Amino acid sequence: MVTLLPVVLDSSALVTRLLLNPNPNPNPNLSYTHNPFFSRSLRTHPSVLRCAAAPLLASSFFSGSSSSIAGSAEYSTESLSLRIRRISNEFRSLPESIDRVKRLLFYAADLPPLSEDDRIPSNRVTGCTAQVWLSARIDAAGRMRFAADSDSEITRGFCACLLAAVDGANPEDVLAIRTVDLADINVIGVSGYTQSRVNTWHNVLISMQKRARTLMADEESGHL
Amino acid sequence: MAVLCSGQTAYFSSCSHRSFSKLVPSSMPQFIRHHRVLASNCSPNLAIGRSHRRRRSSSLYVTPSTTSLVPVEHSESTSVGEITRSDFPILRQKVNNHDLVYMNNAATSQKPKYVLEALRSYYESSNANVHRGVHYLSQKATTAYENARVKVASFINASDDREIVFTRNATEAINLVAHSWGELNLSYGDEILLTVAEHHSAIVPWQIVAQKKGAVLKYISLTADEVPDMDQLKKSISNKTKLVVTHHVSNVLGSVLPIDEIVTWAHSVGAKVLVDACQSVPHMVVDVQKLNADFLVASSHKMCGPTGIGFLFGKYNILSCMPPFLGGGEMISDVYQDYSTYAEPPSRFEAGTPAIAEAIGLGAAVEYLSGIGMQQIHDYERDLADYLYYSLTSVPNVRVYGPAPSQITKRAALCSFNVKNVHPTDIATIISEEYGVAIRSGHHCAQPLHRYLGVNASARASLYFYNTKAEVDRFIETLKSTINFF
Repeated sequence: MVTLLPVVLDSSALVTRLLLNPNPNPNPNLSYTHNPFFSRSLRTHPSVLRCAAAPLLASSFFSGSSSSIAGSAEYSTESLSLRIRRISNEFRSLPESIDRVKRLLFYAADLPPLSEDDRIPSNRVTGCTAQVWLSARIDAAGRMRFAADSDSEITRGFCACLLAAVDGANPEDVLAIRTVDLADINVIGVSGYTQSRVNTWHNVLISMQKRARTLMADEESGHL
Repeated sequence: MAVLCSGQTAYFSSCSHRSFSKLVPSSMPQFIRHHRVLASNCSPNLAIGRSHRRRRSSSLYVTPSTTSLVPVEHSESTSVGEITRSDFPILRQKVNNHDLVYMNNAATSQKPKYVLEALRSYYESSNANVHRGVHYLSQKATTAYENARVKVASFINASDDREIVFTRNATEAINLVAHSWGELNLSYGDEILLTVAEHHSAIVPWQIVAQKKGAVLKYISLTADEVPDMDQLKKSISNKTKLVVTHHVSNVLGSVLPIDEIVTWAHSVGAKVLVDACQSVPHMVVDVQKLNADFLVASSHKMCGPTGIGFLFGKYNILSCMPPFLGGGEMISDVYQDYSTYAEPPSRFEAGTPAIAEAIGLGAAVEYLSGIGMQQIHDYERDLADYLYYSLTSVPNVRVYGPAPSQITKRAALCSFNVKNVHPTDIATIISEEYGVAIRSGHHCAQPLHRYLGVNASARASLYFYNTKAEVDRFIETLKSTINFF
């Protein structure tokens, strides 16, 4: 477990970590072993300060959804829409793509690693240029609980944003999300395009929806 | 260039760019030496004539002008890259406020004005369906389309232009062979030899056919130098071997394989050889008669031509024994209610309206490359290849895959690499968004090879003749900055 620099653990980041990780990793000491080239150094390297330029809207973005996620009983379609809109607004406020990349890296730094038990082939999101794992379950309140991880830091940033939006949402609401709703989080290419095979967040979102559909079907058929 | 253009075809006379004339030696370029027979794609009012076998209507072919070529005009200190860059308008743009440095040429190349003009000219003055009319435009389009086939045949020194089948791309060309030749010739227990470094397009079609026919795919691994092991390949060829599928130049390792030797070994047991030449035809002289391969495939878009067109070279005696791949118009001889008879190759394998403009664009690309000279391109790229390799391996924590260049081992001008502790996609994203440098990341359609190398992905910088050492310097400088970013 790498110790975070104090500057990374500012208030907004703490909120971020809290919100992105409603179910803290039961084994936080797990380290990355799949990719010999991968390390968690980004989270402690001084250069992260450049990547972690303070998010303009991070506070409102996450605090706005804080109560919704923490108080899951109040979670609604409206709040999911609001979350997505806040994410979109935040990234739309960054016209330079490199700034959007830096913002993703900022959020990636606070995404908890997925447990080894969840980094299994059946959890792989296929079609991405990086390796992505996604775990999904339906909690006792009938809401989707997702966790995700990747061997790419930028992809981890995408995952963090997606989780901030959809973790805790009703399965039906997850299925209702359109990729165009999240087009503003693109960091490369022309704003608004969503269909590229290299567009990792698109593949992760589609995978989230597939998992939600499967879990709903399992619930209906009594296979929990 | 105007002189050179008019010396070849009316097409050349219409082209506006002048830069590659600076590279043309006083001797004739390879293309003109081999074939002094190309018709104009533009003018229907040309004299008829052709030095070897004609296909379809002889009226489609014309004699070239005999205007002599101009000598080299430019300073010898100027590189091929510096001279030819001006032919590629797309390279002049800025990306994120930086000059674009395009180094993803193994994925696709950029298109010179000469090719763009050929496409524009076709649609403005010749557009019609081919082989389907006696009217003026149809003849004009058919002439241009069939001349493109002649140009491609000349480019790879095929003995007969009927040996060139236009396909959508190299992938379709391989699928054609797999489903046509493979269905007919493979049976239970037969072996197909491949290297572990093949592109997916050279693997998957054979997996599909092998599953149907009960054939077996056997893979050749790499040597310690990270080159496909030719000793292992030679020893693996047996009477069970029916086909060897191999790349000419690896799109990941940058290594070059001795195709002529592989063909000799395979033919000794009666096996055929299919060469994936996607990374060699655009960069070096490829002579199919010298290689003696049975099949060879390449893609237009990797050699300055349009997307949507590629070609299969197949020895005519083999093609003529192969059943159709797709059914439809154009590929038939006669159609009855219960059955059909099929046209001879290459028409047999070109069902439906083909990619006419794209084929003509490919023909123009071949002319453009030939105008520079494939040997000149190859010599220049070899120098670039070594410069790229040694520049990249000098960066700390960078691991380049494939063989180190030496007197014996020549690398293609591409390097796949990883940087310790940074994902290649993160590298590719930052170096593009922050510095305007275009490289690729991922498995480059070579997942088995990446697994063999013990990684999931790599970054890749791949060059073409319009790249320069200054761009390599820029790439290295920005790569270092990108690494520091993390």
